[in-house]
Amino acid sequence: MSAARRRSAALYRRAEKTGAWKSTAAVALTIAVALTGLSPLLQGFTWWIATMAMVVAVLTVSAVLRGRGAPEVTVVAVSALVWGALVVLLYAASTLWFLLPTLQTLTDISGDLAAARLSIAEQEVPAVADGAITQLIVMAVGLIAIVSDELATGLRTPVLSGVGPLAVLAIAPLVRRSEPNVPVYVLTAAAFLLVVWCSSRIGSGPPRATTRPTVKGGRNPGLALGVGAGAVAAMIVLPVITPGLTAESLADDGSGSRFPSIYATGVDPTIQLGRDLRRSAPLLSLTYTTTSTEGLYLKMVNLSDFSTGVWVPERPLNSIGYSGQEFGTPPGLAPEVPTEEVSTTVSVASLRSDWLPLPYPTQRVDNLNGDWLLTPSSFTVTDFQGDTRGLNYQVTGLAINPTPGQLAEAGAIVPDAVRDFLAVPDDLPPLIAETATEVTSGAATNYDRAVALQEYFRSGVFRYSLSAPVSGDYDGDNAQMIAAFLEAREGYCVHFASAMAVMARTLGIPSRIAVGYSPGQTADGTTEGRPVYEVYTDQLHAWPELYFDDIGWLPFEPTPGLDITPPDYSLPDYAQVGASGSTTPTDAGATSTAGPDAQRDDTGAVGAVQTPEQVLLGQVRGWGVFAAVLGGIVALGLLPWGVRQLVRRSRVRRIGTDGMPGTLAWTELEDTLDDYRVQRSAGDTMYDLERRLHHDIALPAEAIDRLRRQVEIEQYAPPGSAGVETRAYIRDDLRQIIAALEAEASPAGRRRARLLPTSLWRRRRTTAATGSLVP
Amino acid sequence: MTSESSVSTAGQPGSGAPLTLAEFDEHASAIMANLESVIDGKTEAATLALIVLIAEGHLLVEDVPGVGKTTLAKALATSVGCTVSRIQFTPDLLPSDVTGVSIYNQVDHAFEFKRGAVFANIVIADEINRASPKTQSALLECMEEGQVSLDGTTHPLDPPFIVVATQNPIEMEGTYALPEAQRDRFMARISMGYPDAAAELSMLHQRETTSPLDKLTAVVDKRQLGDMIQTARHVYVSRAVESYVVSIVQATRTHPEFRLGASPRGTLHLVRAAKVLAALNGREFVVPDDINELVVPVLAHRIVATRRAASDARGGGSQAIADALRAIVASTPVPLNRSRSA
Repeated sequence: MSAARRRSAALYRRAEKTGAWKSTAAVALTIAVALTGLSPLLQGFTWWIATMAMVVAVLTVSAVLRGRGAPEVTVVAVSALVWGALVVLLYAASTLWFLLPTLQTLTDISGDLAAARLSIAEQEVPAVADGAITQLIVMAVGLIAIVSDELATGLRTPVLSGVGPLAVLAIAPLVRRSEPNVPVYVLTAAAFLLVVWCSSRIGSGPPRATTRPTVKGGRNPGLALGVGAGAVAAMIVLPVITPGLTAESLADDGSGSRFPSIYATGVDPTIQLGRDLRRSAPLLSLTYTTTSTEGLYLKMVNLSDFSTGVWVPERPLNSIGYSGQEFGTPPGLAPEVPTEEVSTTVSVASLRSDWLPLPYPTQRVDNLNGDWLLTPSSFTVTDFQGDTRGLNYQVTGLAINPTPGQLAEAGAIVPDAVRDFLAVPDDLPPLIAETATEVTSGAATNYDRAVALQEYFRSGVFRYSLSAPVSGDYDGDNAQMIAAFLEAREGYCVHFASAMAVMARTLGIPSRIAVGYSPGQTADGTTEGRPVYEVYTDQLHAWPELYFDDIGWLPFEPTPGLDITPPDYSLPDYAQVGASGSTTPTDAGATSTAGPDAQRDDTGAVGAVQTPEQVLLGQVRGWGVFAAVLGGIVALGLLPWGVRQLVRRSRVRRIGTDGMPGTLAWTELEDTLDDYRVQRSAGDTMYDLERRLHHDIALPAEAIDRLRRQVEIEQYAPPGSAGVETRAYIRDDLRQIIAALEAEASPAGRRRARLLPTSLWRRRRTTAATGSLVP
Repeated sequence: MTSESSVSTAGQPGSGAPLTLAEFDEHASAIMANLESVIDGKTEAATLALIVLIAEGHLLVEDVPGVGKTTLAKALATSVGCTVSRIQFTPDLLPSDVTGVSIYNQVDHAFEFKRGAVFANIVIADEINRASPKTQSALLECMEEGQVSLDGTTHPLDPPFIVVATQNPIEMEGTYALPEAQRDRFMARISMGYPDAAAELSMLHQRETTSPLDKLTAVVDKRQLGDMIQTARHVYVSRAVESYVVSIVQATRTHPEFRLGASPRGTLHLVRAAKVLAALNGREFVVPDDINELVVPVLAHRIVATRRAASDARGGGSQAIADALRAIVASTPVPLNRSRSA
């Protein structure tokens, strides 16, 4: 194409796209309004500003390019490039000369996205829009903006462009499962109508020379492309930014399967609750009143499996539908242990969880709405589709008050049923067991050891800190983190609970971590004469529970500095009272349980929870999935081409046998013309078309003429007069014409014709059968 | 619209048509050459005149004075070696002047029929809108029935019989415009249009001394013309094309700009004319192109536009009607049967 022609083409496009910037601006407005729909999910508004900065940047680029008459391909490509450059600039640390992305850059960004997914999975809404989440939204919405703008302004299919903002709008109701925010919806709809209006007025400025009305074959070349891109974008973007929809494969960030993603909604029962504890503005999670004289721990879930070196939530195995029945006797509780009944009424405010907060051990729950599952072995109640918000239920539970004598006698032996609660990984850092042994050196019974452990943490040596583990890079609950915590002696409930639980295990005491809420504090008001306890999001808590035979699971409170009073029985005085009467502890039993662990410590590797091989495997798998998805998209993109090829081949083959070979060839010619966007009209006769082709494109006139005559004979001549001895001619002529058509087209036009053959989805022109009258 | 090279020159098996397409083409070309020698640059008008002649229709030539309407009619008549009569229509022309009169023969003591001017193969009715409606009707009855009935006796007209009527489109004093019903009897209306500069110059040169009409000789005799008519009648029209024609004609009846659409006679005329055009194009079957080409000349004069369309700025009624007809043609899907069971 010469420079002059290129310039005139640009001028033409510019004239055709007058007012396109208005449509682009309307798209930006629509996205801006739709984005505010996310505000119930995220705190603050910096994420909104950052995202809109990205949207405005890419849309400005595309508007400027369109204003200068650039072809649509260029517009999309350049805005995508700008998007990529901004992402790299803003979010990638390791680049070559500031801008050039390297493989490391990609890894960084995918790592960031994985972090964002984790962050979303772990937080309770409204979540803190940390860097990772903001980055995810900026990237995703930036892409949505490009696609929506292209659909509305470039391809002039404004209705389709609504898919992007709709996807953004749909997130909040999906996550919160609440009534949609009506004003935001109405505003978005209004902005969307503006898009439709602006898009329809593009190019209406200068008068356009209208010739005789023609029907353009395949008027919307990018329609299928738009639908496909929108669907793919929605498919990829939606699950990533909506925790409720997180697909398992996407949640797997290469760090191994931590837990089924189905648990990953709202309060995640993982040990990483630091984020919620660091929340700047705590929200009221729930309130309760109780007949107990003290506040109650409200447990949601147990983390009981530490055999992999990471605390894993207990699976709701053998769960049964709960309909108000009795839970039964708590595991390990002997009848002679004194208990008293405690009634508690819980009103859930903003907590959204799959697990029901219950005091342990619960005997019965009344007035519980929804379908819930009871796990009999652990006394937890769950529902995968659950939403605890707004629940109001009565719990009848037990307060266990073992006598000092009973405590001293308990826990000497470990029943087989709870042996799983002793499992520790082979590569447990030796420091943990060493510290445990050292701290409990003076204790005679398992119970004494437990008390000594709690005392060790509460003695003032350790300091409560939410920030230290993060800055010290040992935030987490795996074995290495615990060892690091024991050295740094700063951390929060997670670290205290997991450290004490693991240390107890090394000493032969079955243990698990309970995740739930600490008792909270009394509010000003009272209900029925009892104080109302208020529990806030930052009172999300983790504490160890230790198992003593004949008593069962007893909670301990190793975390200092939270103003929580440990249970009476766990205090040294309480134990000392009964210590005199206690029988001689079976040292042999204790050591026999702890022994193997201690020995294994020597061989334990210092490495990560995951071996490098596992990490590599995870990455390979991640890239494999990525490659498969990419391959799938490419295959999908090539599908129209393949189908079109098959159709053509089948027709060319049938020319040899068909009763109307000329008509078949003509149909193929028409389809090919449509593929190449050559204008045709339903009112055109074949001769009209031939004349137009002759006028517009240098095609082998003789071949077309011969073909047209053949079709005329087949179509309109008296039956039996069609000469079918010309089949070979027909095939050659058809091939010749198609080849000429392809040679005549520009490379871009050829690519478009091959990859997006319009003939596959345009409506075939009406075949007026005899008697059908078309006005 | 000269004829294309013929696809098949074989005669239609079993049709009994006396001419092959080659012979038909030969005669047609000769007539066309004659016509073009007297009126330069008016191929379309000449071809339409020939089509109407072979299709046994009647032709209405409508144009301003002095563009060669009568010349065309005369040249057509001369070329085919038929009897020609010319009636100059005036307000005082009587029906009997056209059809003839019964005169009492005093020798035989009987009424004797004196044939009028209509008893010829080609009747040129000049300025037909100048005559009184009564006289017009007399001619139009002959056109439709091909015979003259007088005093209980029927006098058939000698085929081929074609009336070439001319009329002025511009309203003048003392003219009686043909009513719709009578316009409908003409197969086609053509308009000569002014010649272009080159044609007008050569006309000046040619007619300096003699009229080219004087040099014209008949190239086809009456029998041969009859053969051509027979040949054209046997051109095949497929069901698909028939329904295409019906689609177009029906569309004129529902078109918002038309007060009156085309008549069923119009449908008939359209197909008959298309058959001739197909034969002229060397085809023994009609294709949609033949129909499309003839829609405006064959249908336009039968249609009455709405007042709004008639007062349209685009050159008045006839132009608006032609545009609307072309739009109908452009929007009527061309039949193309793609299934194998054709």
